[in-house]
Amino acid sequence: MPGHCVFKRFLLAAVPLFGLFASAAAQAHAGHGVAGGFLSGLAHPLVGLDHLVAMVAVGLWGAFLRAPAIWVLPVIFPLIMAFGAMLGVLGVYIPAVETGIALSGVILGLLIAFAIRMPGAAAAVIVSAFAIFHGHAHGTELPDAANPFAYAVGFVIATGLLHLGGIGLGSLIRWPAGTWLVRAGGVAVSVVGAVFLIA
Amino acid sequence: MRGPGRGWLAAALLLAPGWALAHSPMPGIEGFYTGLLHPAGAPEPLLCTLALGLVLGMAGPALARRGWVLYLGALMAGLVLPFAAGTPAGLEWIALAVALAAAVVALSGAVHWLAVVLCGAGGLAVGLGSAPDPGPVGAVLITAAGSFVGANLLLLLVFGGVDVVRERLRGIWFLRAAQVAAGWLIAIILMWGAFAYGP
Repeated sequence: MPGHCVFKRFLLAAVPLFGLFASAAAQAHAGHGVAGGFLSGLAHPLVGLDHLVAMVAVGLWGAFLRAPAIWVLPVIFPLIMAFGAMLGVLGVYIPAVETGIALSGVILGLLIAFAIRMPGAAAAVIVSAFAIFHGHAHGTELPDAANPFAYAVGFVIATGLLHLGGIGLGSLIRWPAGTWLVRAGGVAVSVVGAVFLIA
Repeated sequence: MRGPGRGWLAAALLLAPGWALAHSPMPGIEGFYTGLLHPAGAPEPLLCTLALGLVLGMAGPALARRGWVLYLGALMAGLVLPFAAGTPAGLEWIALAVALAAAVVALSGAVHWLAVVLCGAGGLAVGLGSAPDPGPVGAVLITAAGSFVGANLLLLLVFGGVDVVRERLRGIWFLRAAQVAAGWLIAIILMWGAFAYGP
């Protein structure tokens, strides 16, 4: 029956449309409790571009420095960053935190762009100095509603995964073209840092 | 089953429905589950057990066996001690301190007899931290038994996971992976310490 078919088609189109217009925000994750705290911690290092590029840059630079620095830097950075976050939570004042974060992007980016190699200890000192600023900023910006333990777990995991992502990208230096690509990435990191420094 | 028997059985099942008893109504068993989940639900015992599992996994079978036996004894002592001396309060930081020490040992890569000593200290700390609140002796014993089983299961689970990774990533790769995990664990411990015990 043609009329029946038209009605059926109308229903098929109307029901999803009704659902579309009558829908509220999906609230599977309420943004609080353990899951909310974990997600909040996981997202925190990802939402600020200046933080994000610096953490990936640590991994990229580690790839240039090779072993053991390639493994030492992703251990040192989260460790010292957690120490910085601890200082932030405890209310210890550190001057020029935002400048330090922006500078970390500029300097780490330049180190990658010029493929500068140095002893692992010296690299660890440079990375540690910047990690304090990043950690302090995260510690003071901790959202009040988050579950602190789940936040800490998510925060450290996200930071570590960003480093590992940087190491993964840095493994491109096995090929000549990849080396240039990674060095270009260093330039991009440096530009982002410079923009934040000027802004 | 064939013939009318099947029909009678279906009718009997249809006519005699009872409450779904997925959760046992055994009196006091809730305390067992509370105790069972406590070591995984509270940050300090969880971090302590994770760190000890990592250290035991790195230690090798002979040391791990000794460490586990000492952990069992100390855990039981920690759970039983409050019967004689009263339920201690505010001792969670001991488990966190042992967790930090164990994670530092794992990060150093030099895991030896110290792992066994830490297992003893950790077992005692987790036991004291999981000791049930005062109440009827039967209920306290059931909850303590749950904590004993839960803390053991968690430690064995982590140890087993690390051991599986050890089998797959032999030599230096396993050591590097374990050190990265230890570094991240220390970062989480530091952040949680600041949140929980800071101002």
